[in-house]
Amino acid sequence: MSPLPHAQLSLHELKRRRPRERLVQITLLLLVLLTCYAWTCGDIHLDDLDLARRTENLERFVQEDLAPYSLRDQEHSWTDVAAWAWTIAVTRGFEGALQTLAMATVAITLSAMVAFLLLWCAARTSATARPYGDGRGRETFAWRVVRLSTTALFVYLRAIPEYIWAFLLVAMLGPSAWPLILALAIHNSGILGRLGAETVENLPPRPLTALRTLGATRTHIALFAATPGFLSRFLLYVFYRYETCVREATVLGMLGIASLGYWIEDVRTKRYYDEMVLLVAMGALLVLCVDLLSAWVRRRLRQAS
Amino acid sequence: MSTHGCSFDLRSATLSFADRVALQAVSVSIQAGERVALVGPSGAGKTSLLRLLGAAVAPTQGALLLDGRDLAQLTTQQLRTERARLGFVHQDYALVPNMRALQNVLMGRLGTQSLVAAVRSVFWPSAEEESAVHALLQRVGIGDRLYQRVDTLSGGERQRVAIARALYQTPGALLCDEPVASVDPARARDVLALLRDLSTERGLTLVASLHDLQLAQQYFDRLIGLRHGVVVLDGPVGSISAQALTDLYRMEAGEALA
Repeated sequence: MSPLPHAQLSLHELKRRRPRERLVQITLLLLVLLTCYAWTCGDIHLDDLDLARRTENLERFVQEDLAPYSLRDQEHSWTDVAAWAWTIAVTRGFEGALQTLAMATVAITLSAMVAFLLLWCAARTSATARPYGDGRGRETFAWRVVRLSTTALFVYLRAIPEYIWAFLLVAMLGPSAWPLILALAIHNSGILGRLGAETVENLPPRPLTALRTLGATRTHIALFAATPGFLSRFLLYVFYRYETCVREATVLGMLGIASLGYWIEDVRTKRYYDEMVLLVAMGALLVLCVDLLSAWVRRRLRQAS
Repeated sequence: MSTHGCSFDLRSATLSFADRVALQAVSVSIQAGERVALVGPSGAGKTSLLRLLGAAVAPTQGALLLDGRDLAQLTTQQLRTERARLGFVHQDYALVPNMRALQNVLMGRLGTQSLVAAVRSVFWPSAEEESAVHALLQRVGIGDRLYQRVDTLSGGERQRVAIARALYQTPGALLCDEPVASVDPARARDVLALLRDLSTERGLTLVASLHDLQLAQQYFDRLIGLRHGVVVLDGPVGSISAQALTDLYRMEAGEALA
């Protein structure tokens, strides 16, 4: 073995050859350039905000439009307001919220299953002729095709926003719950598939390689070593996306699908702003509840992993 | 319990990677039931040689004959069967951390099982399988750890689980990478005595890499010395001179940092 090449270099030469991290500098430069671009080329003007006039609108909105319609121009107590709110919640709010939750749940379950089945075809460590660090055999073109096409599929699925998928699917399937569910499921399959594949790639390689060298097949290893290792992290991502799904399911209702968003859009077009704000608040409450649940589950999962 | 020991015939095998040559035209022949210690300085190629013998990697040039059969000629399925006969105990034990000792040992049979049989065995082991694993764990001294998750075990216990997994393969050979690198001298003797006894009981060929020449001479029949990826000494323990062993570990200028 020859002596280390750097052993005889002068301090100056050593400093010149030191490893440098350029990524941060490049990112900062890029950020500055993009800001300049937005400032000069974007059609964005501060005057458009016209704050004085908007403030007036806002005041009217808060003071007049938000008061419950049935109780306007008369003396009313908090009991009356509560009764009014309860009526709306019972007639539309609760049903909408439960529908939203149900659709988001079906969607995330579907996408988790699809992602789990497909991610093995996208992970570099499993979708290869030499799986899990196998030192024998040759890399084949067929595996490369499988890997790249699955990865491309994931990118494609998540590159198109849920809203666009839902828009297309409503046109195809009509206004049932399915366009919304499928839109969320398709988009999230792409996200969960990619994240899951990365998690599998980042598993400690040696336990997997050890099983390979005692004769285990690719499926054996995926099932007995990779899945136990990555499941808690994968579920972490699933619950994180579940939160997002509930939020998105609310929004997508505005396309005419019976989630909370449908009722929000319904009262908005009728200009019942009082009812709209109440329903929006219910949506926020729902998202908050799911956030809390998901945060709790994820904390437990992180402890387990 | 075991069938018979494996014999290895490595013919002028070279193992090279993109940036370095790990082994250079190594020819080694190991008989069934032999106990061989691989010695030599760090980076000499001991682990590479073990990985070659364990069919974990294929030689870049040359050939490995296992019981007289050239591994390069085998189909994927045949290679699986051959690999199942080689018990490998890795330096870091390479167990599945969040599974029980029981499951980890049961995974030793994956090389000979179909997917359905493996799922049944690992997730719903039969009473016979559980008692077989329990007996193996008792043999290596940690019978009470059967239902413990591996990541709650100590390093020494994990090593025993790894040995039990290799034994559950009913192998013809045990290949151990640095089995005593991370234990104190008393435990090192304990582990080596266990490996020696197991190889005698079951007629296993035993190949292990280690640094301690005294231990190598005490527990093994034959030494193979590697240096810079080349076999520099090979013979029965008694026939190797003290001078040859000193030369094996001699340092060269600039090497201390390599």
